[in-house]
Amino acid sequence: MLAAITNRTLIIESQALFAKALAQVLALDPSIQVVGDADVISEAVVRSTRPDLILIDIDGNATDLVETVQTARTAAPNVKVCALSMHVQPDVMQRCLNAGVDGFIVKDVTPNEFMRAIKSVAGGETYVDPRIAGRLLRRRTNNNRYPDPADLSGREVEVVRLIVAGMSNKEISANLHLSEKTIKNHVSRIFTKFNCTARTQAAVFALRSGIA
Amino acid sequence: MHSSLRDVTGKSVLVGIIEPQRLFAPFLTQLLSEFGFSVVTTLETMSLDDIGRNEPDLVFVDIDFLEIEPIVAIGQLHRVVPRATICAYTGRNDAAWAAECSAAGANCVISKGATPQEIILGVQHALSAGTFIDSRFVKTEI
Repeated sequence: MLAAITNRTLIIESQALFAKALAQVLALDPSIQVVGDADVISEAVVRSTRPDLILIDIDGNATDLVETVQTARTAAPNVKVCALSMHVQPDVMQRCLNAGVDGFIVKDVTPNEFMRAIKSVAGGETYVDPRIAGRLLRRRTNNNRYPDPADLSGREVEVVRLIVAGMSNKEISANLHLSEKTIKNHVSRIFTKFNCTARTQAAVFALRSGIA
Repeated sequence: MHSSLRDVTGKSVLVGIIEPQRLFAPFLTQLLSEFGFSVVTTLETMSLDDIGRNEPDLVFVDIDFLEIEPIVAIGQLHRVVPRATICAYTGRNDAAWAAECSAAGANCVISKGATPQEIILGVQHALSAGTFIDSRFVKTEI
C-alpha cells in the first residue's frame, strides 16, 4: 500500500542543480511530495503550489529573510518554513529564528540527517542544528552570568572600583599613579572579561558581582 | 548513463570535485559521472595533496564556501595541476568576479544558476575550446 503524502514541500533554491538535488533527496521519503521549486519566493508561487513546508536556501537568496517568511505566511498562514545554510554560526541561526523560521539546517549534514530535520519541522517541531544550538546556549549562559571577581587581576579590580566611583581614565591614572594609556588597557581588558562595551555596564556588573 | 567521456587522446576525462556543501556533493559527482566523466575524487575541503595525487584533467570547485579566499584557491589549484581545466562554480553573478576568477587561473566559470545540462555543456566547452564563461556573467555589468 502506498504511504499517504502528508507534506507538500516547496523548494526555494537559486542553485538550479541543487534544487534538483534537494528534490531527489526529498523524493526518497514517500510521505513528502515536492510540489515545485523556484529561485525566489513569491506569493504567487506559494499560492499555486499550496505547500505545507517551504525549504529555503538562504545563502544565495538576496531577499530579506523576514520579508521572505512574511511572503510565505501571507500566502499560506500555517506553512512551516525551514532555512538551509552553509553557515555554522549562531548569529545566522538566531537571525533566522527571529525572522520566524521553524527550522535551521546546515548544508554539511548527511542526506539522512537532512531528512530527519525536515520531518521534525514537518511534524510541527522546531529544528535547529544541534552544534549551533549548543554554542548559542553556552554564549547565552556566559552572557547571563555575573563576572567572577577571580576573573580580574588585582589591578583590574582597583580600576573597576574607581570606575564605579565615577572616575574618568585621567582621574584613575592620577589616583593609581599609572599612565592614562595603561589605564585604558586595563579598562579594555575589563570590558573583554565582562563582555561589555561601556563603563556603566562594567560598573553595574562589578556592583552585582560584589567586586565593588 | 552516457559512455565514458574521452579527451582528444582517447583517455577518460578524470575529474576532481571540491564541494564543501556535503549535502550536494553526491549530486555533482552523480551528474558528472552520468555524463561520462570519471570522478576520481570528491572533496569537501581544498586538499591540494589529494588533487595533486589524483592528477585530474578537470577540477570542478565550488568557490563560494572554501576556507580560503576563492581567488587564492584557484591560483593554488592551477599551480598544483597546471594542465588541468579549473572550473569555478559560483553564485556570485557578476562579470568582474568572473574576470577575477579567470585571471587567477580558472579556465571555466559557471554560475550556480546553470541547469545541470548547462553545467555539462560549459565543462565540455572548456575542455574542448580551452575556456568557458557562463553567459549569466557576461550579461551583468562590470
